Amino acid sequence: MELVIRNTANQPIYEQIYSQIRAQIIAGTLRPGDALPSIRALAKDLRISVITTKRAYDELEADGFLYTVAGKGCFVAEKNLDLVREHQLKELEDHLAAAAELAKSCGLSREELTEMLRILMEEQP
Amino acid sequence: MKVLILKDIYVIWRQMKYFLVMILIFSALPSGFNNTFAVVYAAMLPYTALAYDERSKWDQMAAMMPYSARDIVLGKYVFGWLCIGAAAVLSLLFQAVLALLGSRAFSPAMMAMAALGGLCILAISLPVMFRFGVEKGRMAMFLVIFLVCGTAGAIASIAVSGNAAKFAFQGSALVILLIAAMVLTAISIPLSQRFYWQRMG
Amino acid sequence: MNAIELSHICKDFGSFAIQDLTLAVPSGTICGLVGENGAGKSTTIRLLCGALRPDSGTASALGVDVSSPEFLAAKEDIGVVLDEAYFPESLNAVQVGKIMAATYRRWDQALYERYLKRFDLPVGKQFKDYSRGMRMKLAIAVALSHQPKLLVLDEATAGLDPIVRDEILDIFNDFTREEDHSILISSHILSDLEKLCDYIAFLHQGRLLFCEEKDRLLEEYGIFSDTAAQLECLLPEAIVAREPNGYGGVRALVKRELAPVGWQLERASVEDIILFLVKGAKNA
Repeated sequence: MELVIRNTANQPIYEQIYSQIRAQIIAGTLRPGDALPSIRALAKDLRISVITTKRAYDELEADGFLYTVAGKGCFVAEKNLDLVREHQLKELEDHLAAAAELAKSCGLSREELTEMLRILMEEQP
Repeated sequence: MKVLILKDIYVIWRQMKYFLVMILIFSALPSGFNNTFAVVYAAMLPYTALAYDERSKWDQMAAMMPYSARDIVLGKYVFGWLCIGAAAVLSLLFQAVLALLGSRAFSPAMMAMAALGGLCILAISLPVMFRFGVEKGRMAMFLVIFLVCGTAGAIASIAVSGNAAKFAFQGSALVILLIAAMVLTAISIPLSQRFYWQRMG
Repeated sequence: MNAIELSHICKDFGSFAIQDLTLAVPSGTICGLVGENGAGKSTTIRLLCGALRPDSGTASALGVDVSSPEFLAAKEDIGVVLDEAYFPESLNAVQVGKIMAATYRRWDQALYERYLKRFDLPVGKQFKDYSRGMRMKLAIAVALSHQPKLLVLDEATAGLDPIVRDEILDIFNDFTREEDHSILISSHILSDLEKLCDYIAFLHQGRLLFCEEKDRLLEEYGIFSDTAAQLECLLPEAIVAREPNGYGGVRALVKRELAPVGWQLERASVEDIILFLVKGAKNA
């Protein structure tokens, strides 16, 4: 698991942890069933407050990204398909927006771009 | 409590060497009051230990460690008794050796009286130190020593009339001193504990 | 269970008084105690360890009332490091070790020797010949070697060079990997506290002004650094205290939630926050 805490960002630390772990779960870097470091171990390793790591983990649990087994620790939950889909749709949107901008800059019309997309999708298995 | 006595021994250790030398020197002096001086000096060692405690602020540290107030207070008494006892025994041994070698007189009774006198000095000066601190306690201690030695010296010089009278006098003096030491100590220890407890508030 | 609980503690010294001090440090956390000299930090620590009795109020450490006879046994689980190491000066490290071994039931001699080695402390040297840094290191070695559950540190890192301080802070950080281990640390070196603490408690003239989660504190405030004119655009309640630079610029501590969204505020350090709060309290 990769985690980088940036002090310069104005984003609260618990939010940074939350979003980074969430992103990795959605991206699949962290797979369902993977064990996460304990709240305390994580806090001490990163040199941050235990309260903050607890807050991040609590929110991840509330949002369904991880679950706790008493006495054993925290584990990544089964992928929440809606959220994954949402993430992928967003990514798609970003790609398409970039494509649209690129098209504009080289003078491609909407119909030409749509045609290009149709051909590309036909080529997909 | 043992550990606190150990600590005091460690602290006083450097002085101990001079202490031993002193026992030797004073034991070699002509018999009389002089060679009991080591015992009186021993009665001052708890004061020295307390002074070091206060100076290094160990007393503040000790209040936060698992020592009971009883251990802290009683420890100083026991340390004092050990020092007096050791001084008395060593002095006597030395005198015995010198007496065997030469024609020196040998007076265990005198040493016993000095030891009991030392106990009385302890019993009076320690509560003052626990109540008012080491500085004021030191003044009380020297005052008591002065009084005790002065009185003893005066009585000794008066009572040097005849051998028979001397032994009788020594006998009763020992008994009186023993009772005085026991009574004073019995009052002194609870008093010191009370003062220590008050000071920690 | 709370590692430390102070409830309505009052202690009057005449010229100075601790007033109605209520503080709780949850088990497994690190609480930093800050305040000016004379604010009452050392007094609070003494009250907490039973070295001083309060006029009123109760104190308990590790669930045991400080004024009860059971507290004597509880002291076994409390490691104390004061602002100076108060060992008898003619002793050396070995003798100190022997005394501590006979004092504490859970004394770990091997651990003590490892610390002595790690801190490079000469074993034969008398304590009075130690430098300040060495004295603190010995005190810390002693405090850790009897395996306490609660560490109480009064200015324990003052006088240490930054490299050693960092190492010591690491040791304290590791100490709380166990969930029943807690620390109360008072310090002037606010950057140390920022690295280490879960909570920050601020004492000012004998009163506890606040005890807050450090991270929430950092989230709550921001530093505004721009022209004085710009500062006036903010709600007055948002500005805690300000520091004009004499050239039309100003630096101010601002409450983030009362500032307009999107305004660029710099991150405030614990030191910034405390200094501005004291300024604000002084001017109030």
